[in-house]
Amino acid sequence: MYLPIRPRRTHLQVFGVTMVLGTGLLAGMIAEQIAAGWFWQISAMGVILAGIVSMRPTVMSRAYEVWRSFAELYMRVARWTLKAVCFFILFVIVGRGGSTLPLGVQAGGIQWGERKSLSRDEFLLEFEGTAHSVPAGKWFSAYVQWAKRSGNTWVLMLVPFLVLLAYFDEDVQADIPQNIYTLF
Amino acid sequence: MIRFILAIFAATLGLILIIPVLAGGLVFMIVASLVHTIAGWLEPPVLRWQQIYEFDAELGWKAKAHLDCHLLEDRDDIFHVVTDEHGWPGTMTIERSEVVVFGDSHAWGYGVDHKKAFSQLDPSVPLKAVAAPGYNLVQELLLLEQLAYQLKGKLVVWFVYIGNDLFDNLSPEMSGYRTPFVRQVNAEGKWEVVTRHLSPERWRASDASKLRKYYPILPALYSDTFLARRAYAACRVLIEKGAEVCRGVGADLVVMAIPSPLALNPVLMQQACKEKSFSSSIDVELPDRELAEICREQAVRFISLKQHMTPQHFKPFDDHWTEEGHRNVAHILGTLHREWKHRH
Repeated sequence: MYLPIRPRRTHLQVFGVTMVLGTGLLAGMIAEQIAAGWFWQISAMGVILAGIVSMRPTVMSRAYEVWRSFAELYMRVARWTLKAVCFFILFVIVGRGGSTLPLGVQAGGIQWGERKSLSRDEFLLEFEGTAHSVPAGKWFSAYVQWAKRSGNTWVLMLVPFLVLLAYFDEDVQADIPQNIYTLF
Repeated sequence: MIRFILAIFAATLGLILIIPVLAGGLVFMIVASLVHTIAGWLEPPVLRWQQIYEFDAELGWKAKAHLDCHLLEDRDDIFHVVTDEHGWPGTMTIERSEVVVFGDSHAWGYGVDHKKAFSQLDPSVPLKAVAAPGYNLVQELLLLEQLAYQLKGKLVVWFVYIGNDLFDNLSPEMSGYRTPFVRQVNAEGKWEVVTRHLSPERWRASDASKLRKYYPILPALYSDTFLARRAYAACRVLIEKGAEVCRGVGADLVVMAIPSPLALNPVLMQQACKEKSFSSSIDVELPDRELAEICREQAVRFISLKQHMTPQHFKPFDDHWTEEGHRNVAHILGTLHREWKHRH
């Protein structure tokens, strides 16, 4: 989803050609609606411009930066929307179905409940999530198992949102420090 | 169960609601996918710098022989690399050349396509670069000594990169790679070249084996500090030895100082000083003045590239030259070669 922070020549070439051809095609189609026969003229102009851009891709540097910043802005909006949908729609609706946690008022009108200490072995289970880390490729089956085991199968409906959130995740391209001599 | 049913309903509703958001970003997704996919098809297979070096028992490392490949520099771009049977850049031999350039990655042509490196640009100058990325002056002196008899009657140009050579000469390692260095052995100020620690093993004797940052060090080399005094004293010894080797075989030595891009931009230099709370006064002419003085004493010609280069000759995210920078250096070397030919 993200374009590279530091585009190589090829990135700029492909970006430039894509944008110029795309714009040419779109402009050609609009022009065709206004006057017949313009589509091919404008498209041909787009092809010529794309040729120039592929020879001198650095002319697209500024456009690339602007496009990248718009893409980043879009990603931020998309992330915010996804989280908002989860928090304000999904959780609210599911919350109407109640909770397995004993959140209600206990007998006698108080919320004080007696807790017993865990046995030595159970302390480990308490931190099961961190004690037994799941391999990256097998997170889904572990997630499903946990959902079944804990009686929270509804969380499976979060998966599409989690996948989309991962796709729209913040740009984590390694920013290589500048001004260092890094060969060794 | 009720919560599961509610979740199905809520998720469906949520997904319907975000469809417009996803549709709005479709164009960004398509462009990004096209750029990544097509660029992947167009670019040649690349190597990383770690893959092109091998251990050398006398020099610490050198580039592999007969390379004809593309390297990826993460901060910049892909470039084409060609080396000869010794791992030196290009296919020209020392025997056929009239100018032999010793140096580090600048001389090796790191960061630009082989054909666009200064050593390949001017066909009228038979020039051989003998270099490897990361070399310091000690390694270059050892090379000079190794190749001395092949340098007879030639013009020898020795690149001194202010950005790291001055410091690296004093260090037994460079970011974990063991390197020849110089040290003072007694109170009389005698210096010796140390190579006995060289091995393919990673250097672990000090914390310095991390990736070294040079910009915090540079302000100290541009002012009157203990480090600067040691660094220039070491340079003096190395250049004296180099001059002696060249005189011994009848070669003409020229020392060419490559400025750090930092020195070409006073604002950056002041910024570097502030970041490190460096209070001493900075003298951007100090390295050139010191080197010029050392060369004058040895009757060696000194050329400061600081007078000929601008920040545009350096890449924005590392210290290597751009294609324009290489053209500029090729022009300077061409002029130097013509003058030298004229005198002979």
